[in-house]
Amino acid sequence: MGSPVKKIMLCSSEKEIFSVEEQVMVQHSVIINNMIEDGSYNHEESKIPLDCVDSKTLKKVIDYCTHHTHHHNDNQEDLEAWDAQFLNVDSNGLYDLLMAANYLEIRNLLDLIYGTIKNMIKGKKIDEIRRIFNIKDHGFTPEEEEQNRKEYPHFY
Amino acid sequence: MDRISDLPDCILLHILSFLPTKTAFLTTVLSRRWTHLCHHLQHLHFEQNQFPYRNTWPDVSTKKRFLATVNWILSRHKAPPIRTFRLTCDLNHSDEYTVEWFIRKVSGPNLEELNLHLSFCCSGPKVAIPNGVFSCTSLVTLRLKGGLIITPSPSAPSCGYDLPSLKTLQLYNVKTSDGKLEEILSHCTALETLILDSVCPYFFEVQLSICFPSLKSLHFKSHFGETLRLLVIDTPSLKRLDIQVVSGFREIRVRNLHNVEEASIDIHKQSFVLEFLVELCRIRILELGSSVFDCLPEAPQHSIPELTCLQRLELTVRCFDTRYIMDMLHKCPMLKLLAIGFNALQYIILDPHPSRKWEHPVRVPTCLASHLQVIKIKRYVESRDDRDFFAYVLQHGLVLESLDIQVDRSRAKGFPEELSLLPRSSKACQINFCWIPKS
Repeated sequence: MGSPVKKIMLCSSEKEIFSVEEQVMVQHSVIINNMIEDGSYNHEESKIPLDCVDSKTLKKVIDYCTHHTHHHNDNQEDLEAWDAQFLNVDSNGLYDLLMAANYLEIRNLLDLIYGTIKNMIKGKKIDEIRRIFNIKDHGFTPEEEEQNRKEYPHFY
Repeated sequence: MDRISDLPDCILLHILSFLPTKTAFLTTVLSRRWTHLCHHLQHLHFEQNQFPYRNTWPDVSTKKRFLATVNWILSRHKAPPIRTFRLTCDLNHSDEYTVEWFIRKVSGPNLEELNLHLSFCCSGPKVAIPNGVFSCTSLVTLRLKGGLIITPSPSAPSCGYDLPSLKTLQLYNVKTSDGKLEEILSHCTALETLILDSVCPYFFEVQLSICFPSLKSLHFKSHFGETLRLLVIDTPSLKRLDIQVVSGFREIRVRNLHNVEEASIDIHKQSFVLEFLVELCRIRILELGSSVFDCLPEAPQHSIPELTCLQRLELTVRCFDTRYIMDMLHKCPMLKLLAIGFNALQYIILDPHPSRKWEHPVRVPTCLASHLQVIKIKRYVESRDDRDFFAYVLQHGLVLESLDIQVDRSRAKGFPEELSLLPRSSKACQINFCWIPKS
């Protein structure tokens, strides 16, 4: 019979340890793939510290990679529905995921998040975008803001 | 501070790169955090129709405002260098200098894609592509459409061309000066996709060679006329070929098309068509246009090569020439699908020449007995011999699954009923009719 599934350890910023199938992370994360390939990860003792990823976000990232590894043959519609459900998080959750995906270089997750943020901006007016992203302090002086509104009235 | 503004520049820039450039430009007034970002964008896509006319700018025309915006963004652009530049717009007289400045501004050592789609409101002015574009070693995609010319610049002699990374070259309605196109092509050593559509030389072009070991897809549509004496095609890796020659040149030399799987040919000179067919020995999908219909039916049957791998054949015809169709069936032993489309513009000619009337074949084409599953007739027009043809294929088509006919409602009187009474050898065969949509 085949050898047992190889696992790797990931350590979140709260020092919580997650054990994941090696193949799942290697397939999705460029960084982890490189670590395994160049031998800098020792299966006996090492764990990969992810100091800038909290447990909640790391769990979601692992969920994403696991699902996309085991269901990559599903039809496109099902996968898209799963992705939509997966990204049904508040904006803080979305930024956390974005930073984690960026750190671990998970390309398809990054594209998914960028696409989502793009849709939050596209076709909107400035006031709307500020509300969506909760931009309370735009940093312009009242004069500058008035000047911008005068110059580009159709943006607001 | 809000979370999105906390994200690092590289991530915000990436978000902006997913947006149309106009929307990205809008974020300069979103907040101070975003103001400088759009000047670092590496991918710039400008489309004039994203800038509709607004009453708030009554004194400046939409076109001027559009070009002014592009100008504003380009002149403030900061490092890193631009990698993609796409521009779609209508130009007025004298705008060509502005566009030439744009091209010079973006043609740096990191430019990967240059895509210009221009149209002029008046004839005459043309944008000259600066020589620097053709020595952009990083360039992967170059697409030039409309109102453009490629001429040698007086300051730079014809040297220094270098396009080692170029994979896609698409030229539509571009004028080139003598021998220039040939020279540029000779420097595209890694080319995979080439489109030359209505590219015309200024004066006199002796020959054009399309010889690329790496080329995978070629689309060639010419209005060269007599100015081109010789066309040479030698492309051993080619998978897809699309060739339309409106007016003839004297000579054509075709070599190494043995890897082509899909081709569309529309040439009105019989010897050229035969030269292509002989080379296309592994073709799987073939379309023969109405110009081929004007010359190929007259060719002696033995001169047409057997197309042993062909699975799908689409013929455009001007009338139901049953002899041409049967001759082609005889040449395609593995054919699964036959589509016959009537050229919509030529309704008047209904019957083939009397010398080409239906002849009962001496032997049944191989494909009818073993492979042919689908026959589709588009924009069907009745003619003299069609009943004989339908009766024959229904009787001998042992594996036929469907015969689909698109027919004009007013001309269809009794035809579907008549056809459905014909005896069929294949029990599974369905005859389906649909109407030609009214234009």
